[in-house]
Amino acid sequence: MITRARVFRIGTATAVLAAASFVLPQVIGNISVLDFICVAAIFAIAAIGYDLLVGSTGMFALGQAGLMCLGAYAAGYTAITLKGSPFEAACLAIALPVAATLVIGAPSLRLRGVYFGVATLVFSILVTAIATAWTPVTGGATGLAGIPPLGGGNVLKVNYAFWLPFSVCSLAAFLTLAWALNASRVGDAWRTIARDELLAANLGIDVFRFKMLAFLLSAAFAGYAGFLFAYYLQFLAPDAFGLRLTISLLLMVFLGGAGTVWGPIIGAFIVHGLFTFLPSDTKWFEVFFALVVLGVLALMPRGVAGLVDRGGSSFVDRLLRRATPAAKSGAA
Amino acid sequence: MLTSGVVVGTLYGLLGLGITFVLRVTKVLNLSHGAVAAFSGLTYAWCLAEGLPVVVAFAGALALGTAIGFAEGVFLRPWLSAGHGVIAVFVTLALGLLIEGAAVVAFGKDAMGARPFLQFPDLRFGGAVLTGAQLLLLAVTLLGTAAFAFWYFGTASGKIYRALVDDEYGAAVIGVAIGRLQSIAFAIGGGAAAIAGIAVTPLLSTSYAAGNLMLVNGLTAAILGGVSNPFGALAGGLLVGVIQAMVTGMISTLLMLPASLALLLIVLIVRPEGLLPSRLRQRTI
Repeated sequence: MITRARVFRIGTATAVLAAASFVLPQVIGNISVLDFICVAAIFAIAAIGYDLLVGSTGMFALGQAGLMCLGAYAAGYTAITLKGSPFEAACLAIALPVAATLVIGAPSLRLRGVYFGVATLVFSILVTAIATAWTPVTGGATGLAGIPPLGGGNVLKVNYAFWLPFSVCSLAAFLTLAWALNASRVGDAWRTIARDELLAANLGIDVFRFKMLAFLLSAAFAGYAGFLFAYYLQFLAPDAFGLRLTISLLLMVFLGGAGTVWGPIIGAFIVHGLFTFLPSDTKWFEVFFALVVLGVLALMPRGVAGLVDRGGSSFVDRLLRRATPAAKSGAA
Repeated sequence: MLTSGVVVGTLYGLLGLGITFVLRVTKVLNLSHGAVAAFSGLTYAWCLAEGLPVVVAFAGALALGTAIGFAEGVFLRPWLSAGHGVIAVFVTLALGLLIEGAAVVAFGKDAMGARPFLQFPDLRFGGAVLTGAQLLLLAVTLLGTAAFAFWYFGTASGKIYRALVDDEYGAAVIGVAIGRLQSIAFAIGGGAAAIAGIAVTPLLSTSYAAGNLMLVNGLTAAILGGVSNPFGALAGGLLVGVIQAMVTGMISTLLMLPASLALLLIVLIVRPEGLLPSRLRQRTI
């Protein structure tokens, strides 16, 4: 429910965040910290969008990495080949994943259970495979270089006085949007669908419409995150959007807390922190990362946010409720 | 070109068979299947490189793959008994990453090949040629598939699994220990993956990253063939192999993977029960 108190709370939080983002580059001189915050914020946007789908609506989609890939390459292509402005690049970066979701997502919604997850996973792998193969457009496996810088600076010396506020304020804007959706009747509909689809349909909720909405929104968030990614790094490679990103986004949502708004942001910062501040080149890193994911799935299904606030998320409730044998009878 | 597609197709079929079998018995899609195959293949290559006799290397790699599968089955028990297989799929995704990471730790990041343990002569017929290495791959894969078929259709324990696949509730009624059998099913799947991984190593050098490719192709074979019959994956695998060969030959090697993936996506959306005639009408798994 959108109450005045909640609006006040979220409003102050985002205002503080935005203000801090302008001040921080002057205060922090350490480039790796600034870089960490920018990239974590970019992933957080993708994670929030993913959470609308997996957390709030309870849909087991695995395609967010592919959607982000579409957005990033759309932005890159617009910038380099079409010589468009950053604004045009952002628009196309959002439009392409959304269009793909409309075309492929709509029919895939009638798939049940595992099949839906597989379809979205296959979609994600297909996108990276196309990005690797379509060399004239995407630069192939060697990548797409030469995206013009945004806000001054260049590849070697990023202008953090621009990028930190830009990424963090983008995050704040998308965060507010996601919060508003989650707190409104839309969010209520999503949570009802997550809890029990049949019940939702019987209550008069247009299940397909709301699922499609969550899907399209997650695509839009992913697309914008891709646009930021492309312009920040000024270089794209298909490897960045592979299985590791899919698992990372999953971890961000689950570690932070599915279905909450702050959860994915916390998750994004923690997961990206793991990649940045731990030596991710050593041969033990992949094992360590996998163990973290397994640990979170096994021990903390509600994530960090679940530990802090007792609201919990309906998707996790549904998961834990299903663990009782009573719910299983008649399912064969 | 077509013959190599058929040869590779049997490999995909075996991978798909393992995936389908586990899916039908446990209702969990084991996304770590490829990683297990790659790890077993690497173990086999490593054993050969250390000078161990072929039989020991083969048996060791097979046993290891089966053991990994069994460990997965045990680890997944809490999610299996919850009756909700979908989050188990997330877990298998993470398990696959774990196994891949273990491969990096154990074997490093370089590719490892293995000399073929039997030298077949090349076979020429009607303008096509099957190299000795391809024949070896074919032999190992077909043997593995035949062994599985023999077990599944010919033995008493195989019969219990067939019962489980056909009607889980009925099997429970007659006293089948479903939980334990599901864990063992993962072990059997691991063994099938191991054979596939071992088979491919002499032909293409395996590395820790090969698992993903084997998973994707095995998955394509499994779904195209349809999950109603575990052996449908064999037909699915041949189809994938042939299509990939045709795309490589007629268009470009780069489009090989996108083409089969696009086909998989279309089949998933339009006819998820697979391309073969099926008595299941998109059953919830």
